[in-house]
Amino acid sequence: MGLKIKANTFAMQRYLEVFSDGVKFVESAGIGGKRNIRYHEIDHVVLGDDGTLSIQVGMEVFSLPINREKPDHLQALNALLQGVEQRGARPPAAQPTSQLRM
Amino acid sequence: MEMLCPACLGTMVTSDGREAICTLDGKRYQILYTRHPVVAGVPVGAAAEMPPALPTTEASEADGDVYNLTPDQAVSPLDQLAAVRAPIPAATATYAMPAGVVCRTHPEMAAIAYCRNCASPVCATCDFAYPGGIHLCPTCAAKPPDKIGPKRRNMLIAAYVLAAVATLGIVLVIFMVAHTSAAMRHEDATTVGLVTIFLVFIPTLIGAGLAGGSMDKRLGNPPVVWGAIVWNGLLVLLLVLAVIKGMMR
Repeated sequence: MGLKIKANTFAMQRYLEVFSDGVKFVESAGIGGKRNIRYHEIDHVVLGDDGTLSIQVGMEVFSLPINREKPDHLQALNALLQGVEQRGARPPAAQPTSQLRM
Repeated sequence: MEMLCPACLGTMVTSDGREAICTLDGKRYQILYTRHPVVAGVPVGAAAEMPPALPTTEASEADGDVYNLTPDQAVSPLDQLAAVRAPIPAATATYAMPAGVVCRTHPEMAAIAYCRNCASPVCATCDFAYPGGIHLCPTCAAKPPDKIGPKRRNMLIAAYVLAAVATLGIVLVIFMVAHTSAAMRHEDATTVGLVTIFLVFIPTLIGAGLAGGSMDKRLGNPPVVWGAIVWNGLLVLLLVLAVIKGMMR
C-alpha cells in the first residue's frame, strides 16, 4: 500500500498511488484504465496553475488534479519526486512492469 | 522526449528550467522534474536531439572574396546543414526525399520527410519521428488520432453486444410476463427472474461499465462512443425504474 492521491469523480475512479519502485495511475469508469509506471520510465513531471499534476511517459501524459492544501497529496507528491530523482536515471535490472511491488 | 502540454499535447518550451510554456495554447506549467537537459527557448527534452551548430567561417584574404564565389565554389546554406547534420538512421529513412523539397513551415530548410497524415514536407525541426519510420508534422502530432485504438474498439464492441443482449432480454421478459396468467406459477416466476438477472441485469451493468470505460477526454469521443453510452445509459435507467416500481408495489 503506497501513498495515494485520490481525485474521484461521480462516474470515474481516478487516483495516483506512489510506491517505492514506481507509481500506479488509475483512471477508470469501471473496468480497465490502470497503468503501472516505473520511475525510470517517467520523462517529465509538471504542475499546472489549476493544480493538475501531469506525468509524461514517452508520448503519453497522465494527469489528475491535486489539492495543494491537503497534506497527504503533498506527501505523495514529494514521494513521487524523490522517487524519480533517486531512481529516474537508473533503470533497474530487467523486470517486467507487471511485477512491480504494488 | 519532448515535454508535451497535458491539455493539448503541444510542445512546451522553457526559459529558466522552472516554468514551461505550451507553444500552442500558451498555458504555463511548473516543471517539477525533467529527465532531459533544459535549454532556454528550445522545446524541453529536444536539446539532446539538436544538430550541432553550423560551422562559421570568416572571410579572410587567404580565402578570397567569399561573396563573389563562382557557382561551383559557393556552398548553399542547405548543403552546409546537410554536411554537418548526422545522416538519418536507416531504420527511419524509408523514403528518399527528392532534392529541392523544402519544409512547409520553414521554407529555408530542406525537408527530410513527408507527414504521414497530411503529406506536408517537414524539416528536422518540425519532424516528429515515431517507431516504424512514421513521421508527422507538428499539427498532426498534436492532433488526437481520428481512429479509435484497438482496446477502446474492443470495449465498445462488447458494450454494444451487451446492450443488444440486455434489450433482447427485456423484450423476452415482457413477452413472458404478457403470456402468463395473472397468477404466475412459481416456476414461471423463477424463469422470469433468472432471465431478468442473466439477460438484463448483468449485461446492462457490464455494458454500462464498458461504455463508460471507453470514454477518453484527451483522445476525444466519436459518436460511436456516445451511442454506446446513451444506449447502455437508457438500459440502466430502465432497470432502475423497474426496481423502483417493484419496490413500490
